[in-house]
Amino acid sequence: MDDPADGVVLELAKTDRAAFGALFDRHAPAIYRFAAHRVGQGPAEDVLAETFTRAFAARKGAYTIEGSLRAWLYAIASNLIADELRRRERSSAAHERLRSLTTAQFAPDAGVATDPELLRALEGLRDEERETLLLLAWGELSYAEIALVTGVAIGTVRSRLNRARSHLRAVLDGSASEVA
Amino acid sequence: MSTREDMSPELERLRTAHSQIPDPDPALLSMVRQRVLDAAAQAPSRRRRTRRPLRRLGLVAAAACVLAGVTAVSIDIAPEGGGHGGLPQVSAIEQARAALAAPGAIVHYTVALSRDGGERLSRDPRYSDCNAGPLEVWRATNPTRWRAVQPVSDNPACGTMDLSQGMGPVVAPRLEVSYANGLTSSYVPGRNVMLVINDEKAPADGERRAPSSATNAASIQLFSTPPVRKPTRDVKQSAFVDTRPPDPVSDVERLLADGELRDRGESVRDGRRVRVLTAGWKRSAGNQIFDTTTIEYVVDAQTFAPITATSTTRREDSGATASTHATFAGYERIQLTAVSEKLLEIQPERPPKVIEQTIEQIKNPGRP
Repeated sequence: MDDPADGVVLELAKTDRAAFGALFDRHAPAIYRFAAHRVGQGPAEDVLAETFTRAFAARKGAYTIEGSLRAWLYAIASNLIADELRRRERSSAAHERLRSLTTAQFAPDAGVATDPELLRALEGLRDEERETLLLLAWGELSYAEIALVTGVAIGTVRSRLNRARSHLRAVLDGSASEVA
Repeated sequence: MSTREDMSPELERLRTAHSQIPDPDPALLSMVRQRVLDAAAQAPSRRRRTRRPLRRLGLVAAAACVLAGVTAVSIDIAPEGGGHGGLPQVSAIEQARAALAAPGAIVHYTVALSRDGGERLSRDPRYSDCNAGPLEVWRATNPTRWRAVQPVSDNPACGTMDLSQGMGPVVAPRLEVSYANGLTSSYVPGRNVMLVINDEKAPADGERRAPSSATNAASIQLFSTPPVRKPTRDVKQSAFVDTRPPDPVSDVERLLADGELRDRGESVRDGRRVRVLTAGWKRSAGNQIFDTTTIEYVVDAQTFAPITATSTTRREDSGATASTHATFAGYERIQLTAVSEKLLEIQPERPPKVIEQTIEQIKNPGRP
């Protein structure tokens, strides 16, 4: 859950640029790590900067209750990450897919990229299922926040998570059987 | 709901993988932070400067009309942009603002809040007394100072809010909030504790922020009426279009101060001649529009005293809408004297426990 003071600080930020810095300090590390896991540390820096730049520009219309502000920031970051991944996919196609799907969906040097079974399981998911699952597991967002981020009903979030987790279980259990 | 409660193996494996992603270097964060604030400093103001000459022109024209004894009267709501012959648009906004800030007087009124569907649960005997009454407000200007009193139910089934900054829960019989000289005070007499937020270094900022404290107090009226606004997250809230605190009053205050309300002209509501002022905005992230909010502020056509303020939010994906209504009553002006001045101050019956916070401490929690 967000710090309950988020709403207070956001109110301050509507008229005080310095107060916006406090929101940055509070949320930037988690959003950076979320972005870095998807697109790598260098591009994550750009995602982070652009997320908060856009958030500042739109701050007067932002949510002011706990949880929602974080969801709002993740919504912006997720759009930017998706843009970056699409750009890489186009780049990969142009280069006859010299780059693997791994680098198209996740940072190549850390995290899930070091767990091939998990990576394969994630690659088998539909984009929207993968996004929902990662917002839950990595963003630690609630179902309600994920619904806000992805712009769907909470029931849709639940069904996407069910499908994603079932798929992961099936693939990971299958991998375990193969190893056994 | 905490996602950490979900400890399934596949999620734990994902989280373990994520734990390998290092925290960002503080120097990197500092650099990006500065980049963002620099960009913010260069961003153009949202306010539309080009409208100012029109406002001045409107004021001059309105003044000319008054001098000439001309009265502009219209029954129908004007098209967007408001006004009648382009004359009274600015005048209506200015007069609506002045009605809440009468020179040499204390403006006194009450504000009752309701939300769509709230009446259903309020008929449930378990919650029938949850709304203990409207917010009562006394306010004066030059300099701005005010006090607001929100009655609080003693029925534990109704829930309450937990004030931040170490104040703890709001309990019966009331919550009082006041603003003066850069100090915003919140007082819970039932626990004899008072939070004082010090904005003395920038009183103009404090003056602008303070109304949202009164509106938060007023939102106690909506506890245990759907949509419930609990201090803890409830996933069922997502069934509603908007989980923001209902805020038409401070929205109106801000829009009046910014001159962003538009005059839609005169109309008749419940047999009463009224003036209708509106504003609206979209909440978006990038190209994605989440929802659209409209504010309708209705004032008396003659006195410009507040009558209602309605905030309506429409969700773009589902088309669902939700509204919060503020109904003003008992509007009066009280002559400002040394005695009536006391109405603007919180008067504890005995010395309260006081928690003081500077605005810098709130901006940077955890720092001394």
